[in-house]
Amino acid sequence: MFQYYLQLSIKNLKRFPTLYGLVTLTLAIGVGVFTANLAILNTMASDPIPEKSAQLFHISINTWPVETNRDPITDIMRYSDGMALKQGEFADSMVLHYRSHAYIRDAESNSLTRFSSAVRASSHQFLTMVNAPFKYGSSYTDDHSRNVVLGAQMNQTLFAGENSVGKTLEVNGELFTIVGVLDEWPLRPMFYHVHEGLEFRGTEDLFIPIETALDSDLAASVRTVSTDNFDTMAETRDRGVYYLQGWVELTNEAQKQRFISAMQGHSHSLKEAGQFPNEIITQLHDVNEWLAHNEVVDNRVAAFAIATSLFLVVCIFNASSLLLARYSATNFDTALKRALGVSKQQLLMQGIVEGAFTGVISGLISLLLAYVFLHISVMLLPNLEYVAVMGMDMLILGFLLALITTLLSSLYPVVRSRTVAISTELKG
Amino acid sequence: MNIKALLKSLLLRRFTSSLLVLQLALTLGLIVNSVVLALDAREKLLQPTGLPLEKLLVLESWPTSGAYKDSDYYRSILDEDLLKLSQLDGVNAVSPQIQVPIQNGGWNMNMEDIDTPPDAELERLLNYVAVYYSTPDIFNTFELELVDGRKLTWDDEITDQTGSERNIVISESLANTLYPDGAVGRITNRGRVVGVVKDFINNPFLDPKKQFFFFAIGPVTNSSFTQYYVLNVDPAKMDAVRHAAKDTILGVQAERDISSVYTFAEHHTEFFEQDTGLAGLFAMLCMLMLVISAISSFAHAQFHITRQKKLIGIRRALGAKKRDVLLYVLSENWLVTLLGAVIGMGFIVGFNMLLGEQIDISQPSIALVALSVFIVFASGTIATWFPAWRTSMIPPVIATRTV
Repeated sequence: MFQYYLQLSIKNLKRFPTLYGLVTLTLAIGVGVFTANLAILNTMASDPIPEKSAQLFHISINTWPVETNRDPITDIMRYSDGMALKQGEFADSMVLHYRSHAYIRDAESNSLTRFSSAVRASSHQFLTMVNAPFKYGSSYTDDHSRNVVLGAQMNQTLFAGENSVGKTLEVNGELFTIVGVLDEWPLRPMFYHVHEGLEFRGTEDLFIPIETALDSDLAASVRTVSTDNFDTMAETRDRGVYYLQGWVELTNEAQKQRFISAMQGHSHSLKEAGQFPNEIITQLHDVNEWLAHNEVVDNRVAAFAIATSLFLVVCIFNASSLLLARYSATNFDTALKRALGVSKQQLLMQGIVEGAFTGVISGLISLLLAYVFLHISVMLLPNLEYVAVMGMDMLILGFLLALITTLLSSLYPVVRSRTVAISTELKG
Repeated sequence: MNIKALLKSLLLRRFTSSLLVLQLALTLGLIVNSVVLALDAREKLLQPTGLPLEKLLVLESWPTSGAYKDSDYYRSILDEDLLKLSQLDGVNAVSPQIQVPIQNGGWNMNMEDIDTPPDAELERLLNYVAVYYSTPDIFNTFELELVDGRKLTWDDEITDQTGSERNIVISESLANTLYPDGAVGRITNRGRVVGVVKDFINNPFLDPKKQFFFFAIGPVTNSSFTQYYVLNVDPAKMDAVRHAAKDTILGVQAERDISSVYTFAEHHTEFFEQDTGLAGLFAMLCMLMLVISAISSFAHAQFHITRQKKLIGIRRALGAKKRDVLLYVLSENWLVTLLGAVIGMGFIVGFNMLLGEQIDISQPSIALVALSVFIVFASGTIATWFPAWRTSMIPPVIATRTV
């Protein structure tokens, strides 16, 4: 029976080529724009580390040493705060890290070209904590060692993608040993650093032990109290310089409470020592809470999403109106069929098959259009480049959406056409 | 013309008509708000910056060699760079900087009078006063206009003095906020104010009357951060200078990464890229909306009006003139448009509020709404007129044949 319905559908499509062409195009445009936008939104709002996102917590603590009426700085901390929390061993695994930049080259290379690279200085547990994928070797295991880990792209640039473990790397003129090379690591969003527009720029090229980074004076973007100047990063260890982000891995509520009370203990001890005149703020945000707290989803994309969904509604209305015209044009045929004994149920089935068939076609076109619109979005908003990816899930979703909207559009016309008054129509 | 009869006929085709009305209303809501976004973006771009955008050229560079950590070495290279750059034909002035205007973020410090009591309630933005460390040439480079006091010279260079012993020049809006009755000679936590210059736009996201920044002759040789050279160039020679600048610097010392070279006009456009880009996206959606509308009117004419052939035929047979038929079909369209426009007003406001929760968007002006409604009216009329005219041409004999 299905085959017969399908044959009928193809026949109908051939009978009204312009009309069906327009219906398919209308829905494909609507779904295409919507899907492209949804893909971007989906990437922005996705959980970058689902297997661990509920166990990793960002440490927010207020320790600003001068009385102030400005918004409290809680997302970054001083070296001394970080160390107090880390060395107390209130959790199994806690890391500190900051972002830097360096020029690097293969120390044995004949070329003197140095490559600009993004650097993450971190405690040695960091790469394990955030599940960084290793291609060769493993992480450094000592915060003072001169061992480093190279990102996949930089390894491609410097060593043509070959195993470079054991090789010597020159970083800002100093020598280091490569102990690990990462695989491609597209972390979207890069949850461990969501400020300064870094959340959608890709992971770093070079990972380096934090104490070594400080000794080698790898600069950070910092906030300081006006009295605390510093010349080298090593000096920031005992000054009021704020730049470190802290993350901690906690597996249950008891551990979480224990860590929060440790943070409060630290704040109270600073207060007692007269070094902290402000309001105590101690918070832990898990990965998804942290992403929501920092609003990583671009408001512009969200605003455009509102527009595209309205647009989709318009397209559905339009397609429905077109299909209504198509079904009223065949009222005579329908009445004839009914007179010959075709049941309303069968007419509905035929309508659904025809809708589905049209839906499949518009689904395919909409995927093509979605791809085009994704590129247009990146052209107009270059910042989206790293986010504009369409995964399998989005392709399937887009296709299903086209199918559903087509069925939806044909629903009313089909249902109404079943109820034609047989005698009136056949009289003509 | 009988409005009642019209309404009745529309009610007969309830579903089709209400779809059309809703579609019109949504289209209006989208188009008006897209235009508002585009106008907003344009206005931001046209806002005066107080800087000679066409004359400024920026070179961003990073030292790639560890030798630059020695600030004396860095300083000697810097002096050589500045000399060589200033000798290029067409260069009026050049200065090194740690940041450039038209930015959001960057190097900021708090500023207050040295005697401010600790519990004083200060303007929040005073915590984010942009710092422009440079050489005395910065005044010529940016063509800064003095409002009060004097400019800075090499005698004002920061060496070892503590904060309040330094000499600084501050922006006019900063002076007005900190010292409404005269800033020159007053002492802040960042130094003594020796001059006040006219504002330029440091951060376009802030009120043009709240552009807080200050200048000091100070450290520009930190190898860990981007080095900016800003050149004031005769616009006619811009291309040549731009071409030669990179090699000039690398000729002095090659271990530098010149990450980018751009004019301030480009920098300005790029700063608003996100806004213009979003306006572009909405414009694209409007275009698609028009395509859909075109499909809709075409379909309406093709499939719905021809369905009415029979009715029109009856009318003609009963004595209606061509003109009457035409007017009838057109007024039906006007009624639909009118309904769409009324509901559309609601959509315009609602959509504007919905967008306002996500992004900055101004409210649409009455004139803009009126214009959009007029355009929808006009295009609807044209789209209906042709098929209506064609229908009215049908002789009643043919039209009524199937009755």
